[in-house]
Amino acid sequence: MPSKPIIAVTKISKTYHLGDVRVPALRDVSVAVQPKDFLVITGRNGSGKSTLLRQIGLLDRPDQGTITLLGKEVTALKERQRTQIRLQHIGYIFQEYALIAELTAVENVMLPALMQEPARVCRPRAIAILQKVGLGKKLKNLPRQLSGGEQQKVAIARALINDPEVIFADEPTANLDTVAARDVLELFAQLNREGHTIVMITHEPDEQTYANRILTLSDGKVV
Amino acid sequence: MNRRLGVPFFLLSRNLRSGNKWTLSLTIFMMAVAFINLIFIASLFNGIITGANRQIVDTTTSDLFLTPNTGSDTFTDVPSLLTAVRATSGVRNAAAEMVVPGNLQFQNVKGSWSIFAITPSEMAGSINLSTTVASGTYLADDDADGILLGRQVAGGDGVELNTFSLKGAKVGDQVTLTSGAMSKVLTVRGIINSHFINADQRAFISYAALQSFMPKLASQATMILTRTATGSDVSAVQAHLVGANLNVQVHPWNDAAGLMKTVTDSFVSVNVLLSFVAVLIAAVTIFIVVYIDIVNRRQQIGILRAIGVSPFIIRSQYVLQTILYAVSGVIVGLALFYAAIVPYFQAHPFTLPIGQITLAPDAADFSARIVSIIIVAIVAGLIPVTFITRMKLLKAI
Ligand SMILES: Nc1ncnc2c1ncn2[C@@H]1O[C@H](COP(=O)(O)OP(=O)(O)OP(=O)(O)O)[C@@H](O)[C@H]1O
Ligand SMILES: [Mg+2]
Repeated sequence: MPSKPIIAVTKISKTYHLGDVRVPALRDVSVAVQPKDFLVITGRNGSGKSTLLRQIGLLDRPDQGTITLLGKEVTALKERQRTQIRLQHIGYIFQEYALIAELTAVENVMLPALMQEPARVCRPRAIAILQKVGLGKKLKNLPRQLSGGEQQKVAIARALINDPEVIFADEPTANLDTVAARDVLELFAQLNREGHTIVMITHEPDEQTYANRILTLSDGKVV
Repeated sequence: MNRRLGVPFFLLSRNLRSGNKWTLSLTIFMMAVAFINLIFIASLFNGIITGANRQIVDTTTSDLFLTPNTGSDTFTDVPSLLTAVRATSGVRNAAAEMVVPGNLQFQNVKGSWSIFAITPSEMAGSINLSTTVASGTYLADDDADGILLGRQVAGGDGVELNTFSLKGAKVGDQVTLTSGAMSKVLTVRGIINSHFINADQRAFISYAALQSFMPKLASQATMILTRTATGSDVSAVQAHLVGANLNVQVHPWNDAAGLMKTVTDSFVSVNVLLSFVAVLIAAVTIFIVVYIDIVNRRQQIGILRAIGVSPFIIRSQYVLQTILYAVSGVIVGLALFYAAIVPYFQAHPFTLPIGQITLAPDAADFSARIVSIIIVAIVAGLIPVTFITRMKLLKAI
């Protein structure tokens, strides 16, 4: 008997407008994610995976349907509240790392925590997380002084700093070599074992083995 | 809540650490130039206005001047009036002048100017005649054959109003003063140059000379020029004089400012207009700098928002940044202004018909301008930031 879902997506649709052209990216998508799930979303290019993740990651709003996150209906919330949820309850990892170029590894990681706590608390925590992901020796490196795999680990550490319930990752290994990719996936597996719910997009069939559930999209619909 | 306020400082400091130092310096320099622009015009106009006022007081009216009550053209009991005025509290000096009707002739050039009889030693305490003698000497009280000519009366090559002057009368030359059927030959003792063209169109003789020429007039005066004691309140002294029941009219110097007043009044409105332009330049500078900065960091701002940094924090960062630009610009501007520009114009004053003009900075007025330039900078910086933080998040990433 599944517990109450941590994420409940009900019949959401999203259409992009490019001038007069309508691009339906999601059509009536419904999905429920249970706490401690490791959900992998897969599908062909353009099938709507990123669009779906952005809706549940509160980076965008669907045209129709509802999303319940941690028991709260979030589609209609004010932007200010959605920002707060992103800060406290969601860790989002982008394919292109999305680090702040001017901040060192440790500063990038501590930034979300600084929104709630003083630097003397955030910094040791950021250092501890960077050590956990194996970057204890690169704390003061700027993003451009790190390899792709290392940058992605910094991005993961940043996503973890506020101890979010859910981690979203959009093709986190797409720009990494096989060794770095395995590192990152092992990290996700460990986080999942520690109790974090993970929703990850991937194209790689062998990465799906980390998942306990797989959602396949095609043409904006769940297959 | 207040914890988060550390974040804008944190972001700004990192932003500056990695930013281009030249761009930063240039932006601050631009702000400094805009600020100097804002205070320069104001100081110049203030210099013109205070300079003009000072010239009127120092050359022509002194602080307060007395005229006869309606009904008479002249004072007749001059010595007792002077004694009474000098005894009034706050009065440092009082001196009489008498208009001498007549015209002057030098060689075959003839013309009429304002000619005054004065007691030279007394008048020196009310206006600056004795200190503006450009060549020759000041008059002695008992000099019955001498005359002081204003530079514009004496004329000569290079003199502004040479065409309408005696065309080159010099110290030692003889000029003839004619009044009706009477005439008297006088020797030019000195030439007055106050740099105030109106004031330099006058000539002065002593009461002793008037006595030898038109004795009836020599016991009269048309005006009493009164200097107040340093630091005393001119209007308070005026009130004392009125209260002394001297049967005279007491005028503050600006009653005689007339034409100058309309000129200075129009400077005030030009000043407002130019100040507005200067503030606008500062605003546009800040807007462009912040706008370009934000366009370059658009993606970064999107990332900040995506990870949960609120728009308020992002706006605060840019408000801090514009305050930094504006305050640094003001500091650099003030430093340049006081260290270079003011001394330069003190050494090289502007020569205007009212005299030599330098900048007259007004600290109280500056503080209002500093506040306005900072406020305008903040608003100009907030416009582009607000635009980008209102933008849909996906478009910003
Ligand atoms: N910002 C956008 N504006 C217009 N159309 C968009 C936008 N983003 C995505 N689309 C379109 O929506 C559809 C779904 O895109 P989405 O990025 O979700 O696909 P995806 O499954 O993540 O693909 P990929 O595997 O290539 O990352 C595509 O047809 C895409 O062209
Ligand atoms: Mg995608």
